[in-house]
Amino acid sequence: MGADVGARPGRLGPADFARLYQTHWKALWCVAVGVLGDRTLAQDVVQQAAVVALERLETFDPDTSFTAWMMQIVRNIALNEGRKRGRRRTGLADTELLDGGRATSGRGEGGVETSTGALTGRGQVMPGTEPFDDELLRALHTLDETARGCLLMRVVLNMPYKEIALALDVPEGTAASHVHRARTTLRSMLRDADAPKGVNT
Amino acid sequence: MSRPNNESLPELALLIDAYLDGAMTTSERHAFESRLTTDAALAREFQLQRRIDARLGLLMAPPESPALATSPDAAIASSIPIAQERRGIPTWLRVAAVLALVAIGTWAAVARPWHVMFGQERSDVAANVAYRELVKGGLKPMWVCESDEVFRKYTKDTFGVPFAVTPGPGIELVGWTYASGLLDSSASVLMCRVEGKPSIVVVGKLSDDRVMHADVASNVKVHRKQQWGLVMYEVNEREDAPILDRMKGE
Repeated sequence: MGADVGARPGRLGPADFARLYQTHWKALWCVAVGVLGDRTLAQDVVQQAAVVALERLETFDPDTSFTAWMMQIVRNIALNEGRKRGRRRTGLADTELLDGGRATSGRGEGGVETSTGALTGRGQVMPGTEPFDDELLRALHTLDETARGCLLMRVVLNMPYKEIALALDVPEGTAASHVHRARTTLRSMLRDADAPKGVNT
Repeated sequence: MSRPNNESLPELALLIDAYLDGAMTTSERHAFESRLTTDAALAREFQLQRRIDARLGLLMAPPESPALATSPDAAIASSIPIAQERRGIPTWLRVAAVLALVAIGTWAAVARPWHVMFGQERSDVAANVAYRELVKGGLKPMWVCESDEVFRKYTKDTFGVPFAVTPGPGIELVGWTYASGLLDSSASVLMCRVEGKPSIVVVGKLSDDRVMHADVASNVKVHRKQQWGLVMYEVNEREDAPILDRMKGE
């Protein structure tokens, strides 16, 4: 999240806002999913947050962190939405987390390129459904919203703790602690779930 | 495999986090990887965490940012639906914002890869160095799959995609090890021998891809393939990539 405008001079205009919004979209989505536990709803919430933020653009202090400001808006809307729908944390359908997880892969599928030079690309994997996934999603729901958001930003977006801390307006050590505890909790809950078989030498 | 006892769990958890977070020095990383070969409890916990991370990465991958409409009206109607319901936002501001989203979003998508925007430009990887280190170490695996079925389960658990290597004459699959400093901490290395000569395949998420090269003077060749959302580099001293050619999905 190096594009933050923590100390940007002057007022934030709609064009700046649009750029930052696009840049931070995935992290904003993670925060919304952390609160709501619902992929689709999270997407709606992040879009709602964009409108609210645009309305309040004049209240944004350019000397503060855009990410933290935007995250707070997303979080508040997500909490309101969660209350409104009466589905915070409990009673969530795991399948709702799974749908929409399907993604496309990049170009160059399947062909071998031989080189001693530079080659690169990116994409995502098609998820499968298995009992382990169900257990994992159930375990994910047991985490508190901040821990869930931190974990997703760290594991899914590979964000450094410094940037997670900035996004959530918490100390870096707190962000790391959340991730550490979340990982430990998930492992303890999943230790017995269908461990891979093999010979560990 | 043994289970970790309660006393060792916090220590193992800290070690695993430090490794996965890239918070270890090179020597600490090597020590950790070495310990993985002898400490079954640590190996089991580590494997579980990698499996969790791999599945989370798949199940909870964020959607792309909202599709950017080609006209302001369509954008207001579809991209930011709530805007229509709210009063008090001047139309010019809506239009300006949407136009800005279109222009800048398109620019961002086309001109700048995500990891660059997020300040995570990745450095090159000297594949020949990793290759030589593994060969020098005698291709000692940390994880051996005794059958195709086990191999597929391993790859599904680790990368989210079940695949295997079709057997062939002169192809020997030695086993898996972890990839110190290659791609990211979720990558694994399949060590093989082809006609008695070493050939290693680095497998990782496509999203974690990094530029991998070999010095021309090293005589080591890097072959790249991307499939199933994964990136695979076969590093050997051949002109072809026999292991990559035999990778077969479900």
